[in-house]
Amino acid sequence: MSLLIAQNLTKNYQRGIEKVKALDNVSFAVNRGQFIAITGPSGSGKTTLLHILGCLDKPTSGEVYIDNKPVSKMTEKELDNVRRLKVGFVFQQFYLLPELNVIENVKLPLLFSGNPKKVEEEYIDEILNFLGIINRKKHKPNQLSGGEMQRVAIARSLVNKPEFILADEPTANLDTENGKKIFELLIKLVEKNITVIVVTHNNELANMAQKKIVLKDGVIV
Amino acid sequence: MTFRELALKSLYRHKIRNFLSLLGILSSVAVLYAILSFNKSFTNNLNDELNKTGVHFMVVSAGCPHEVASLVLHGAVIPKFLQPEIKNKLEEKLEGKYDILSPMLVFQIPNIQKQRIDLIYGLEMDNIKHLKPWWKISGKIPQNNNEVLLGYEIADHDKIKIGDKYRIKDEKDYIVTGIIEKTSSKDDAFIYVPLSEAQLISGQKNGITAVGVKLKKSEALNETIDILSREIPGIQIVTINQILTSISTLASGARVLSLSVVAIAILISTIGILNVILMTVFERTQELGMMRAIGASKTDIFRIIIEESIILTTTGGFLGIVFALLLSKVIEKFIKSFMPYVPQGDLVVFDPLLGFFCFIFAILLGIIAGFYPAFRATKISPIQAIKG
Repeated sequence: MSLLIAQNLTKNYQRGIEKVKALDNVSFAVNRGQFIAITGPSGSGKTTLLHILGCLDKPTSGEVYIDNKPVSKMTEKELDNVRRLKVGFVFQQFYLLPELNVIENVKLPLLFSGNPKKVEEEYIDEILNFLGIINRKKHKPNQLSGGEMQRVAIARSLVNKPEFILADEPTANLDTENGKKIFELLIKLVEKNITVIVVTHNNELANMAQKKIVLKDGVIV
Repeated sequence: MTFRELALKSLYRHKIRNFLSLLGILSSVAVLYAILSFNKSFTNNLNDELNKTGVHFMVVSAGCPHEVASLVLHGAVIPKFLQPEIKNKLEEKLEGKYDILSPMLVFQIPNIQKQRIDLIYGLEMDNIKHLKPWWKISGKIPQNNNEVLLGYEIADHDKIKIGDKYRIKDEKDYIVTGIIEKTSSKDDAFIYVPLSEAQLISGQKNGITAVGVKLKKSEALNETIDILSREIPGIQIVTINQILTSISTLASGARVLSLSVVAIAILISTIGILNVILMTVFERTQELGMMRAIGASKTDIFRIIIEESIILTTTGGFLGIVFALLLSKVIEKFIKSFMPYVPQGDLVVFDPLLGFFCFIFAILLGIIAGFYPAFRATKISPIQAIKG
């Protein structure tokens, strides 16, 4: 059974008087524990697709099914719950809160979810250990390198034990070596049966994924 | 981590900006507490003071403005004198019905040597303990016509001690037999002399400006006033209740003015908080968008922002109350400077109920100031925020 299904997704924008088609009839399915890379040139609709999959945006037409439930039928509260408990987001720009240390940044989603899965300190330490930042627990973001900050962001996305991770250009702000390390970490997550969908314009890294979706002008090619 | 801890840490990001906003609320709540405490104590202390005098009513000359007549007990200078025979008529009409019948003469006289105006309060010295029972006097009350009792301010200003001499009208030296301890009221500025001597100094033989009367039976007050008003022409009677009302009315103008100033200060500081929180929301658009993306509901976002606002106002409010109490004497002196009459005693004091009210008020301010920025924050679209 597919964890995530995108069915005939179309997304139109109005830019001034110009109508822009960001996605055009995009369909695919993602199974549990798969590593998917969405790639393509700038403006091809990669990020728009990721946002729709993560319930941050709505398609103009078409449907997304998460665990066979149509997202368009979900209430605001149900969407909040999907973002809290099923999805883990990793952003290009990390978005760590500067006044919080590593452990506090990682635990931030628990504040919003109320920690229904009873996540314990040991589990958080396990994530930090897995990501190689256990010794940076008490450091503030300004004391970390770019690679470390992205690891913290990944740890934050994992804290609620999500079913899938959506990562938007997670290596864009990193050098090649750090970018590769982050990808290797994402692959390790897949080994732990977590589904990972990553948007990247880096073909070399995209080739490390099990499945590659290439978008061009909003269409899968 | 809790929402409050998160809000606190976020506030810490812009320490100086938030500290300045906090100072605004601190000052406003401090003034609010001080004024409310002052107003409450003013009424209570005035009541106490008038009740302690033991006088039921004052008799003054007819035609004297009511407000001035009300202040005669507290040293108001009345330009109109009662006719000399009035005292005798009062004694005659009230024979056997009064405990105290205390004539008094209050007037100003130039003190050329010290380049100022001396305020003279003449009264029968035996009546002092009835009229001003709260006074604490160092030394003793004058018994002879060459003796005076000085208010604290006069003695302190001129560095006069008991036994020293005080010259009135550049003519005669009086022995200072007593000095009144500080009352923080107009009483501090007077020179108290025996009535007959005051009449000599003023050149008004038998002149009196008012007579204070305490009846044996207070229930006979209305009836007595009716009789006196009818049978003694040329007098005006002001009861203690009327004095209380008149003084309160006199003070109400200043109180309304001060409360208006507080209201404006509160409005400005609330707008200041609103502005700071709104600025924070705009600056943190991406961050708040990220929170929405990782699962924060609109209510969560609203809560974070409103908590920041409430933390600012409650901290400012609490410190404001502490500040008002610490600086109570300075604040009191400042407010007294524009009040026509202030009763004796501490006026800005610790009052748990008032403190609680001010604290709740500060929380309300936080909610009011934070509501719009918090509402705006909930409208942030996570996609737009993340896209920047």
